[in-house]
Amino acid sequence: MSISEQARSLRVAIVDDEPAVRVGLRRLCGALGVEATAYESGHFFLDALRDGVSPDCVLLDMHMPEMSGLEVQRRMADFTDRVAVLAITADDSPETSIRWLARGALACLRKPIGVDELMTLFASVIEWQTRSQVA
Amino acid sequence: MEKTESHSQLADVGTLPLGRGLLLFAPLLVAASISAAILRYPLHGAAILFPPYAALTAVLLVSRRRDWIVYIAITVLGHFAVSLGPWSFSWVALTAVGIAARSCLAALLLHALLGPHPRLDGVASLARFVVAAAIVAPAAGATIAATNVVLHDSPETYIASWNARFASNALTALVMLPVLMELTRWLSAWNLPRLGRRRLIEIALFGATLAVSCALAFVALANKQLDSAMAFYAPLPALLWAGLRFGPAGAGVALSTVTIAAIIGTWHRAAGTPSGDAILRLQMFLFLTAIPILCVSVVATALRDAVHLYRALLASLQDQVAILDADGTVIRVNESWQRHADMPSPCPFERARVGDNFLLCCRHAAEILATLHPEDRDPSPRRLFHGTAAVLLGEYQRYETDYELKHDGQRDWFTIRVESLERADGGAVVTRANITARRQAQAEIEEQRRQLAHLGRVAVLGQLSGALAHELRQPLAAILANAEAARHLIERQPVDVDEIGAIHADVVAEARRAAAVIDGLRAMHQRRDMRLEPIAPEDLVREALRLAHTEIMTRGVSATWMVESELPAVLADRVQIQQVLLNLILNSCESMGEKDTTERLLTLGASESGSLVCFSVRDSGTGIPEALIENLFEPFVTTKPEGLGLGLSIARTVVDTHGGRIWAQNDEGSGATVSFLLPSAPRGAEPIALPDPSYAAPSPAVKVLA
Repeated sequence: MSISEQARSLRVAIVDDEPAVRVGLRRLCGALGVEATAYESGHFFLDALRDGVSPDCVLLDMHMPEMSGLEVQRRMADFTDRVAVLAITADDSPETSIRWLARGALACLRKPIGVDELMTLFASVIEWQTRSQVA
Repeated sequence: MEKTESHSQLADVGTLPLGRGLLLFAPLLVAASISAAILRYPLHGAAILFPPYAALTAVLLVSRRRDWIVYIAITVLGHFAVSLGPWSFSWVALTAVGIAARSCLAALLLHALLGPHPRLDGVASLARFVVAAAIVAPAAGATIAATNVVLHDSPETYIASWNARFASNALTALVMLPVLMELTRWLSAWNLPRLGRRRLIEIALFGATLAVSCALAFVALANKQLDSAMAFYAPLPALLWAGLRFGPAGAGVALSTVTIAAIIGTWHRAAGTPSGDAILRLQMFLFLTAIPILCVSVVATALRDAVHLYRALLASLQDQVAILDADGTVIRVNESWQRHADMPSPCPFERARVGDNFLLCCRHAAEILATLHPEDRDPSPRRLFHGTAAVLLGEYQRYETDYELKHDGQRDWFTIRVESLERADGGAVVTRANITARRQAQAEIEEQRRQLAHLGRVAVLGQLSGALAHELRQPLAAILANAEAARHLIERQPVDVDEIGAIHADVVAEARRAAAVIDGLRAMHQRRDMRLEPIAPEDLVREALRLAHTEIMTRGVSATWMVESELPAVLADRVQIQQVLLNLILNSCESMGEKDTTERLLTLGASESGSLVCFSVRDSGTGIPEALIENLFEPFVTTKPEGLGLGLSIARTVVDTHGGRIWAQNDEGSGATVSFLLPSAPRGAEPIALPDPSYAAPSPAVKVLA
């Protein structure tokens, strides 16, 4: 089974305060046949987790007002450890990505994100899931 | 206190040592006493001239006051020696008191009125001299002498005696004192005037003329060949000569000579003691002649000094000066102008010499230039022609213009000024100065400032690049995601036309957003004109915070803003003020790097301050070192190790250009606040476009502070 076929089974959450990016990413996931739900802030996403939603991964923007991506990641631990964090950022500085990866994000990618980048991300999610099932 | 003052005053007045004074002046004083005895008419003991008064006064003027008693004693002894025979001791003694009192009073008054070294150097000092030495002191002396006469049962009446003494001493003061003052001054300083050959010849000729005219007049007078009035006027031309050419001293010598000749002539004519009427007529004549002649002498001397002064001034000037008469003819040039005129110059008005007409030279220059460079015609000679003509016609008080001179591949700048001459005949003074060095210095400063401003913008841009990358990545992310989604949607059947339409609209919008970000970037560093428009302070604060949004978040800073309600709009250039605010915000964010994230507070504010609006950027950082706070806004002053120190200097230039003011202060506790004032816009203000002050030369409308 190819990666793209495997990816279709993934449930993806998108958290980005920027409407254009949020809508674009959701459309792209839709076009690839991946089920995606978009949230405009960390609060909404955490509320959804509390309500029992459990995506396989979350495309999480680092820079958001009120609650930053790091804060969202930290609070996510209260509900689940089964959601892979895929950090996305418009920031140029390499330090931030290192900090994210150190905190346990599965990947950290700079915007813009196209099909290739997205498929790479999904592949790493699938690999991570396989590894944790084996473990 | 008073004692010290009187001491210093004593030290000021005369420094002649007593020994040298005695050597020089004792013979003078004795000779004066003897001549007084000779010049006296035997009957009344009163002289027509009384030389001891002039001699003693002149000596006292150059002597130390503690030595005065010695000179007075010599004069009194001389007086006793020549007078004791015919008169009683008490008469002579009281006369001596009068002599001493008169000279002391005259010397004290002259020092008080004309300073420690009295000179007759103008009409005002002459008037003071006449009042002190020819009126007040003789009057006091006459009062003592007339009292003496009454006490000794003399046949004279008090009034007649007073009149005779007053007249003789007043006359002595006028005809003898000026020359004796000069003489004692020369002798005491041992600084005798040096005379050139021509001057000596003139003096000899003058002496001969004076002697001949006196001799002819008063021999004729003595022989009764001439009426006394006619005789008195014969030496007048010689007296005027003395006054015009030899100063008060020369005039004094001439007057003394004429006086003595007149006394002798009158005496011989009367064959014995002349009548009171004849003496009075003689004294009146001498008195009324002496004052105008002395006036002429001081005015002529002052004029000569003024001419010397102005010639020396003209010669010492580095600027080139030419003096024009009313029709524009050059009547005098200074050395600097002459030197320049001798050099080969393409400009005929620079070669104007004495006798040339400056206006014609200007016109000539204009004609030559019109034929030489028809394409880049230099209007300066024509301008100068019209300007000079206007000054000469009295239309302008002053005309000033700068012009450029290209010569041998070199370019020089001159400033030329034509100033109306305040005199009866009219005319003007033309002053020209080479200002090339000054211009070059100005241009260099301007160029450096220009580079600095650009460098500063580039530096700000560097600080902003992170934020700009962020601003660009957002729309790019949306565009890429949408475009790729569309590709996949097109491949799918049936094609969802509505969805693809929505995607297309979003792609277009985001592409425009990316373009707008780049426009903003360009606006930040482009050379552009300043455009003042009324802007709400709140908009400026909001936009600046939006631009700095990423920086603020990345650095974990909490930003708040407080803008007073109903603030007037400010008249400002939106981009420039955004640049200032951004710079201040970025500085604040950096200054809080060492604080814990919960303590990184940034507050922007805007409030009304009179007719201005005060913007402030406050942080909770480490504050500004006290040593830097004074010159924080100077170029290359920075608190950051890697900083260029240009941001705040540019901020100041921008705020100054807006007519505002910027300053920084440390807050109590921690942190610092940078505030700036901008003028509020009048109601209904229209946008104004001004040349960019950081690139254009300063104009009166825009004040630029470097």
